[in-house]
Amino acid sequence: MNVRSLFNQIAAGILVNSVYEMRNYPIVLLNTVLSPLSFLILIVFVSRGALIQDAIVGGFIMSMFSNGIALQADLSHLKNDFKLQDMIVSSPASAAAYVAGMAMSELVYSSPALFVLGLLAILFIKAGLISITLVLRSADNDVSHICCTGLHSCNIFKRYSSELCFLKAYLYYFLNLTPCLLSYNVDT
Amino acid sequence: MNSDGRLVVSKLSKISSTSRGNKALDDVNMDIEAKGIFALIGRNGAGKTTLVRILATQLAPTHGIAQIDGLDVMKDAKQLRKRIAIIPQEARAIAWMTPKQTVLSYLMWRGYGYSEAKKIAVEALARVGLERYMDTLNRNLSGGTKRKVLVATVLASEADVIFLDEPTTGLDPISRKELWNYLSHLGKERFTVLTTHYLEEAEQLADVIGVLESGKLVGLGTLEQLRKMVKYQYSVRAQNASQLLVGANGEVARSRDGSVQLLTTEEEALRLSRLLFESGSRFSISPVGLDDIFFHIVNRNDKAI
Repeated sequence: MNVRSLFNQIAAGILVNSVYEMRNYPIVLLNTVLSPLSFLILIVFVSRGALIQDAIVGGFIMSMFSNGIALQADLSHLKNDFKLQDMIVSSPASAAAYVAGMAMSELVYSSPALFVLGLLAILFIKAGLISITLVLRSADNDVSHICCTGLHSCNIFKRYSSELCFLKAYLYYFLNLTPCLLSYNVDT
Repeated sequence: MNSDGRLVVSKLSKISSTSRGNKALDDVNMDIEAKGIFALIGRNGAGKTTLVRILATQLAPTHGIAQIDGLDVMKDAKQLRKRIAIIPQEARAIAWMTPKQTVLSYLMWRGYGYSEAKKIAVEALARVGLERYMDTLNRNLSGGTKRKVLVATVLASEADVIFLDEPTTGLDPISRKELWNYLSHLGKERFTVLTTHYLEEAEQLADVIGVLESGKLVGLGTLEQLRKMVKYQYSVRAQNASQLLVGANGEVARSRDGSVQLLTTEEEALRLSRLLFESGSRFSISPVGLDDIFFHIVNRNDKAI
């Protein structure tokens, strides 16, 4: 398997699960922006503007968290309703390339929201905190789902989901020991 | 590894993990040439899909081995996957994509670059007569056209072994016949393994037919070879002449609502035709077809159980 083929396989996942949907149904672009912004607007409104920085970071977190959940749902949808995963298993594409493409597609799908939130972050808060939050949240949600869905089957995922949650709890515990600056990444 | 151009299955068994240890496949053995169209027929739950999924490297057998052109489905899965493509049972074209995007993305998953995949996708869709619908959303296509899109995906690939699991189920007779044309062409170019419970489909398309019943391979061969499994070579069907047929030399295959089907010899069929003609009964005589063979084999198997 050469690097070019691998790149094409990952690109195929991005095309199928985000680019084509956004191209064929442009309304989803608006949808992806509205979801994290709704959270942001609510917090800003309730706090009368005092918590705008927290609201923006919250929007990022919500966007990244949605990515992880959506990845799981999309993989299941494509496998069970369209039998796409069965077609991919019986092809030269590896499980890792397939799931990596799907995980990347979620980031592309939420890119309009991330772009708007990024602009707001530049205007209202220090960028350092945002970038750290982004990286950690991406790593937590997407990578953990890459690992678990890399097991080929959603049934297997369901079987091991409790163990994965258990491992995640340790990840959160570890993050709890990180400096206060990163405390947004810890579930309380 | 020897490239032998054969599909070899030896002592293959699969114990179902979801139905209390029932055998989905039970000691299946076959050795056929990996060429043309091989049709697997059988009732629902006979094990057709399980066998196809094992051959397509999606399921691991509990016992036994399966090889395609010398490549073991377990040990050489990685190499084999470069040479196979499958349309699973109940596969659907993704609703939010167009046929061109569907074929293109599948080719990219097989490692093709975007431009090359786009070119091949357009050619493949044209081959199945979908030029007009290339940029129409899949959700707006008819059931038959959506199936053709899936056929175009495997047609566009470089795979030389194609698995089609019940590709025409749910299609109207005209769409089904259209699809048969494409499958017939596909079978001339590549080894195609097809499962179906439309016996007419297997009869029309297949070079070799396998009959699965309760996980066992109870018949294997060309239509002519399967015909020889039945003692009689002619089928006589008649309305309102049951006494005439029941008393004749042969085997009553089916009897319902005054209509009787008798499997018999050529001479007896000729004699009965004269009698039926003189009595004014409505009747038909034909060589034993795949449906007769299938019912004969399955009934025999049921009695044995």
